Amino acid sequence: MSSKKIVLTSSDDECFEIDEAVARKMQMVAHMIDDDCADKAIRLQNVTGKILAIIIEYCKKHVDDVEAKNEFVTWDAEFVKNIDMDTLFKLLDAADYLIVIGLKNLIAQAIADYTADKTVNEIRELFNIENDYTPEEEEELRKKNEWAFN
Amino acid sequence: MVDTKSLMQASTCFTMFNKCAMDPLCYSHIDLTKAFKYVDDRVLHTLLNRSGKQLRSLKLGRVDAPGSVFRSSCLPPLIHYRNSASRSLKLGRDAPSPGCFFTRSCLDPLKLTGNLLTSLHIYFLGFMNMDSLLDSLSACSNLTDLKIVGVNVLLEPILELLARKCCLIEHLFLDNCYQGMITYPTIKLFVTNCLKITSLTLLDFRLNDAMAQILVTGFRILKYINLSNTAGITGSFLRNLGHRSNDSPLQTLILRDCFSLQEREVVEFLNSLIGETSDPLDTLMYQATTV
Repeated sequence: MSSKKIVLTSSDDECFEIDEAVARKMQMVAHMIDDDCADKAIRLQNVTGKILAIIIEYCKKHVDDVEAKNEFVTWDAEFVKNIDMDTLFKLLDAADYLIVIGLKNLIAQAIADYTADKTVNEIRELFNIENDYTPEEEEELRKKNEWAFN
Repeated sequence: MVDTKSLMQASTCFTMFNKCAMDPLCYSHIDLTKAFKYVDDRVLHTLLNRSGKQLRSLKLGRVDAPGSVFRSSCLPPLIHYRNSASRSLKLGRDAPSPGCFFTRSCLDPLKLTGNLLTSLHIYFLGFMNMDSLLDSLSACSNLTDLKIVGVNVLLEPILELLARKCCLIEHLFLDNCYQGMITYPTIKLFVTNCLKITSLTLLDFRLNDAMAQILVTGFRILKYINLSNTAGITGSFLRNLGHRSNDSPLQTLILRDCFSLQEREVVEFLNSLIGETSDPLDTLMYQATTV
């Protein structure tokens, strides 16, 4: 049985030839294939080669995961474990753009997990957030949720 | 998804996060186990109100509380049933559970918000009002996952209520730290009505072999059962199980610290498994206490 190949080209001209079934895990790509654009290489203008490689790795692992979701929990945890924050954000954007829902949820949860047990200032530093509360507003909010700040 | 304390911290970072944190979806999974020292009924009520109709799971209490504190507690048992006010007054005020400011009816808001709740875990809340707890659970007809650890309530009424009102339950974990009794009719009702049970943990229950057999063989799709700290079982219920293991989806059987367990029964059970062409039982754990 021969499987059809799809060529994906990243924004920085890196090419990936993958099985169609793997490519279809990215719903946006699946739509392009169904719209009969499959004869050509599919160019993904918003995704770099580095990010696309990671997404393809995820899609290859999950190519048959419609039923057996639980099998991949451990693999997923390892997959996101060593990815740095900057890459996580780029992956989140790309997974959203390519519509890879499982990966998007996985990345979002990984980012959220970074905030657990951190103080407000630590979260601001982590995400490079500028505080736009007035001191009075922030104080009021802390008092309102006092139980969470002890 | 983060625990609810972390959500509150994040919402204080800047105004956009605060706006996001007002979405009821942020409160669909309320986890207060990391904030057990400071939350009380008012906090819980506020959060449940914020969840609106989105509440799906709720975790309360202190997950890592030392169980031995409660097991060795000398506090008199105090069960609030209706018309038992005089008994309550007679026994006086309870000592509060360490680090817990919930009242005994802290789950009352679930009567209004619990109908779509699928998961409820409560840890070491100490004494709770039995009627209040039952009324709250009664409203959670979509519950599939219930865990009660370190809560001084009779568990038989809970099993009975699950059988009558929460038949969709799939994962049940009950730690019988109050040492209440459980009867045949309740076990049979539970097995008959809760057909979706796949994972069952009943710690410190006073079950005998006949009861254990009803539980182990009665659920059609049971995969995991843990009856640790069950004083009354000798292991004779394993005989029947051994002969039907091919028909059973059971994968894990845990019988830790069952001090009446007879080694002979376990050996014969294991031999019957070895004799089968297939071995569906992946995990058998027992730890006999030898004198």
